[in-house]
Amino acid sequence: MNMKKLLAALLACAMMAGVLSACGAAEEPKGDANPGGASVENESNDRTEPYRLGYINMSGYGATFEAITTVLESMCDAAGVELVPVQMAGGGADGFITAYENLVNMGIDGVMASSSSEGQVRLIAELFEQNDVDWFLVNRRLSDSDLQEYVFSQSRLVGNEFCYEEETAYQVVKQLHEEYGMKNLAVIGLTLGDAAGDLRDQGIAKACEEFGVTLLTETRGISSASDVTNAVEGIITSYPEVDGFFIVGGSVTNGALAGASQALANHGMEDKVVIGMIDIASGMEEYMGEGKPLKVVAGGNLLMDWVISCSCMINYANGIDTDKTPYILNTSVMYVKTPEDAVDYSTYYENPTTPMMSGDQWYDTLLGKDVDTIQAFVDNYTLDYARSLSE
Amino acid sequence: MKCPTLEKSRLGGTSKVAVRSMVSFLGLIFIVAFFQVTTGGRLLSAKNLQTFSNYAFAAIIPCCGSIFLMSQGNMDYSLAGNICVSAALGALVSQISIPLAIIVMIVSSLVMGAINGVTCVCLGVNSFIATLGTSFMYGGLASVLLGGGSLTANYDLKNLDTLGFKYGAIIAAALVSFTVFNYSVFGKHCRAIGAKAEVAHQSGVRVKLERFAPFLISGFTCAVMAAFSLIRTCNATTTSGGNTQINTMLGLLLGGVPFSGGWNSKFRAVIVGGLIMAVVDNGLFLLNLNTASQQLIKGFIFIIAVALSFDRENTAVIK
Repeated sequence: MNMKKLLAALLACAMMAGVLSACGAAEEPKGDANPGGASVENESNDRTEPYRLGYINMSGYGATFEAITTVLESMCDAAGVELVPVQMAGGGADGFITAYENLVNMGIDGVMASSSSEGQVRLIAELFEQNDVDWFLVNRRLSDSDLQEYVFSQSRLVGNEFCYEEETAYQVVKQLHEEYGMKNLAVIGLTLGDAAGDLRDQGIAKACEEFGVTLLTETRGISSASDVTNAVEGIITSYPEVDGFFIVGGSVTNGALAGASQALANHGMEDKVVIGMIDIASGMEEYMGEGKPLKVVAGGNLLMDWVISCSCMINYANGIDTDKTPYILNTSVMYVKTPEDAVDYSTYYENPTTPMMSGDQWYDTLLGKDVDTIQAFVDNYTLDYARSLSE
Repeated sequence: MKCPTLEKSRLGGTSKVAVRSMVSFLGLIFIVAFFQVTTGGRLLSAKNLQTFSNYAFAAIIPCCGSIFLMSQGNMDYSLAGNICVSAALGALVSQISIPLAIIVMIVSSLVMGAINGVTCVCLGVNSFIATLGTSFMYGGLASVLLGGGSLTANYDLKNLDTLGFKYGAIIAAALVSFTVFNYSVFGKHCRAIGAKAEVAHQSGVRVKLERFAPFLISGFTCAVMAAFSLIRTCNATTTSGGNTQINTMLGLLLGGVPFSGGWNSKFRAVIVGGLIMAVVDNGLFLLNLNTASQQLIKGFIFIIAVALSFDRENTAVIK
């Protein structure tokens, strides 16, 4: 009993010492609430420390996210901005909220914020507004008008960018139908309630109605290659007339492409069924070409989402176009259709280890530029242009 | 069966009981000091203590309910599914009325707890197997309610996301649980059942009823967790509840509750173990370790905790 009392006393002393030492520690310097310069060299403001720009590092989720990290590090390094990554604290809404709370606790000046669903955006907006943190809403088109009005009224919101998900999905179905004669489509979709997934569903429905394509079935909430294999084999068995699969979220459904291709190969249908996909998958060139099922992949917007967001935040911190907030920008997608393009895409654009541009190239194109210039750059970005940057 | 009190008096302060209780205290001191140093003092900073309240809530509240189960040598593996269903129903109803949503969450969680209890006690299924099965059921039900995605709750719930509410709830739950576990007949009966159910039965304890009740208590704490999840995120998703059952089990084991329950189950395990889990979760996150690394470390801790706490003299592992 005496030993337990002694230990309890020791524990209380240790925690008290810890609390006192933490309270006595100097506060981390908080960035200026007004947009100033991003770097020490900027003479137009009083900032003496680099602008601290936070984001959730999801590089563990695949090559695309590794490439995003590489690009952000390159851009921030060129601009003299301190990039502050934080890991996801588990999945779902709580993971995002906790991660952003930790970023705020780390004393960031600004954040590039994404979310797993539209329902979290309001909470994120409140968190940053209450803590005087500039923020940019990445890859999220707000479908709820009340939410949109609320979010865009926030004083700390720098901007919002998104991709036209409905149009992208529409184009994929259109190309599969017009170029390959696809008539009976099965969809492997994102979970319901995800705004991007819902918009893509609308695009698919619109294209099916316009081109007379029959939507046979939909499968949702799949998260592994084996699940996709089982799902595709089940669809082939139940619907022998199926001649097209649409994988709606390639980067979300890890291994979906491999799973679907394996299932088709098991049934000897690789050259009879076509696959269209949104979001780039690493190694996709293996499934493309003559006799292979993958015919069109729409993507490239994920990386460009973060490029836009980062350049806008850096330029905002440098006092550019501060009177035009919140910016509204959108990204285009690339349509990759050949194995050669797929290889070049991974080499010159979404390379996990080599950033798409050097420091000088960032300054020639995006850094220090106004919002209209940034939008024009994004609108005109092609795979050929990405190739030319490395010459 | 060896009487723990006689053994303790025979061996004095060096008994296994004393060692086990010291390990948990020492573990908490070490963990706090370790993360306080490695995070550069951020663990116990004023700002982080606000975030820490979320980790503490998620760790201690389920432990307050599960201590009764684990003292009997049972476990509830369906906590996450229960929380998910409850949160989904709460999100749906909160758009009509928040008080009604709270009532719905409590009732639904109690019903799910009762299902666990009936399966385990009346049908005689091993608690691990029974609750593992119901966890699949509740997960599937949650997916149906959520449409495979997520539901947004009434944003007014966010007003309850305050430090006072969270720490107040933790203290209230701990006090109630402590009083019932240590000073009520029910609490003593739980430990007696964990030690030897047949002996407890022969002593006049209504074993079946008192094995059923902790599942209801566990269900109630799931309702509290579901409400907390909605207050924090205003969203019910298929990942609401996360790894609650694993973290709860781990917390109680680290706090010193034997895996097989019995007289060595002490309430201090709720506080000590819950704090250890909260500090570990918070500390690993502050160190910016990725999710995979965090899982690796927690899995390692789990194995060590089970190895240290498993009472090899009582061979019945799970009743």
